[in-house]
Amino acid sequence: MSRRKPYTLYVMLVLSALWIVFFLCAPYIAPFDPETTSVADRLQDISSTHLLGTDQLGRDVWSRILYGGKASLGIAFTIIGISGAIGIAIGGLAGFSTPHVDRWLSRLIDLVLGFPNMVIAIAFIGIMGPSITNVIISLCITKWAEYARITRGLVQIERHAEYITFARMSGASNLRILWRYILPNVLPPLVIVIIQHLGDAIILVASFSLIGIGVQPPDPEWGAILLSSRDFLQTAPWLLIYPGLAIFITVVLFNYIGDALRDALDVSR
Amino acid sequence: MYRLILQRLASIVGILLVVTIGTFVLIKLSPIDPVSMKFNLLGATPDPVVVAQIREQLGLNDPWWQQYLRWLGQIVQGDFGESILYALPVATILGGALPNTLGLVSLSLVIGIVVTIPLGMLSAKYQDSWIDHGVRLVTFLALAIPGFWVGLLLLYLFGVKLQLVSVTNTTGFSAYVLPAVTLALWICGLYIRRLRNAILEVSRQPFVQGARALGLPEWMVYTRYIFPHVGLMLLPMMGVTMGAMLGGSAVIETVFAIKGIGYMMVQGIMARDYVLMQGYIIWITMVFIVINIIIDVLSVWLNPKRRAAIKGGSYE
Repeated sequence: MSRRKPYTLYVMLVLSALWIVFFLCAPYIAPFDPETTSVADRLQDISSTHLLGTDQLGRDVWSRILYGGKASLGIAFTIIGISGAIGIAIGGLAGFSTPHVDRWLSRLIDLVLGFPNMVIAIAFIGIMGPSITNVIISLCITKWAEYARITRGLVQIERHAEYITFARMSGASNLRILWRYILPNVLPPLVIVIIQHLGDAIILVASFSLIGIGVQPPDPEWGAILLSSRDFLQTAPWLLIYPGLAIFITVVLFNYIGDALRDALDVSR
Repeated sequence: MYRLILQRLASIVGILLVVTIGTFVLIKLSPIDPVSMKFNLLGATPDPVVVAQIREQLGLNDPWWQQYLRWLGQIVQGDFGESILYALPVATILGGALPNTLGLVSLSLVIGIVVTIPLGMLSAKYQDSWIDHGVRLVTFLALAIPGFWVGLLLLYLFGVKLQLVSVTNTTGFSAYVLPAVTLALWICGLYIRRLRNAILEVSRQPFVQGARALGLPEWMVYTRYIFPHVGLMLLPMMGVTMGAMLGGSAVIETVFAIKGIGYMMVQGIMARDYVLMQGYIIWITMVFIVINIIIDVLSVWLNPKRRAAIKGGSYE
């Protein structure tokens, strides 16, 4: 990339920070309770009372999108956080330990990466039953391996660097070398990958809710709001358009930041 | 070559063992009780004595390894049990549904490839021009837009606004067009950029510059020099993509009510029909493995270097 400062990136960073905070404040902003039903108000068009209309149970769509954003973002961050932590720990161990341990861990990582993650997630949710916890676990089962593979590769490059030899000569323990010297060096590229995966996680969770095996009614979540929209395509298109738009904008923001950070730090691949 | 195929086929046994053990353990851990499940579906209150009898009949009181081996034995013989929800053999249900899924996936692959190749070529040929930037913007948006939302929007646009397709019709070729376009959009998002980068990378190679220096027409440079290499670079990625597509088709099938195996699985999950779920997991694993073996063999067979290495006896 060029020498000039990535101003667009700064703008996007501020925008997405505001976007996240906005949905976290849902309880203070939302004009209605997201779960209060009212038969008299069902399927109302957009009006000054109901900014984005109401759904088939008379619930305010704008309030449900606000609360749903809090849920969607929370679940996505949890999935990426947990699988990122597990992946970095296992990948770091594989890259830094003896060849024997590394071989077994790599085999495990390759095995997990070989399975299609969405199919595994659907199978897991199917057997254990649809719930938020099971959605999170089902995606973490396979997601960690991606971060483990990347971390392992990065650690293997770093461990032979001169500054590691100097650290070792000055008597630093393995744990200290990993934590104080290697981690700070491998973290930036990992953070970029993690940001790039946030959008995918939001879409995956929403698609599970949409087919009825994710967040269960009456809990608001972007995919769960869309769940009923198919039955009311003709009468209530606002049920379809706005929750989808919320997902789309969020993913565009996260993906843009991920791509721009990668270009700005000039991390290859 | 045959040795390679045989080796890959042998790996099926290992993967199938891992998948069946995993499924079995999960079902044992899960809160599902198959017997009371059956009663709930019939709407009857289970009598504890009858439940105990049925449990004994089904062998649910045997040691777990006996249960597992019996189940494995049935699978090997092609017996996947009877679905609780549909009261039909699972093999019949999935066998009827699989062509729908494969049809949907292949149609979207065809659409995806037909769109990806010209756009990727244009993007590479006019690198950094407005065409390139436009195509890159489109692929960026294609990856950020949720597939199921595209599906619903298409359904709204063509089904409700333009009245071109029937929202309720779920059979026949026309029912597959919108879901296939939805899945194809995602393929385009994934592959246009990769194709562009692969073409640019291969074009920098000396043999391509040599071919151009010889004054060969551009179509010949592409078909004889660039595409064979680009194809070999992208082929291995197709395995992962196919896995994601099989999972993704479950969502698209449900949105469009196409009765593929993903749709059946979702119905099975709703009814807590664990027999159907087991069947789905094993079937989709098999489909995924077979596709990957085909891709593996193709990428060796199409690559003269690796083909020669195998013939010469120095495998890999």
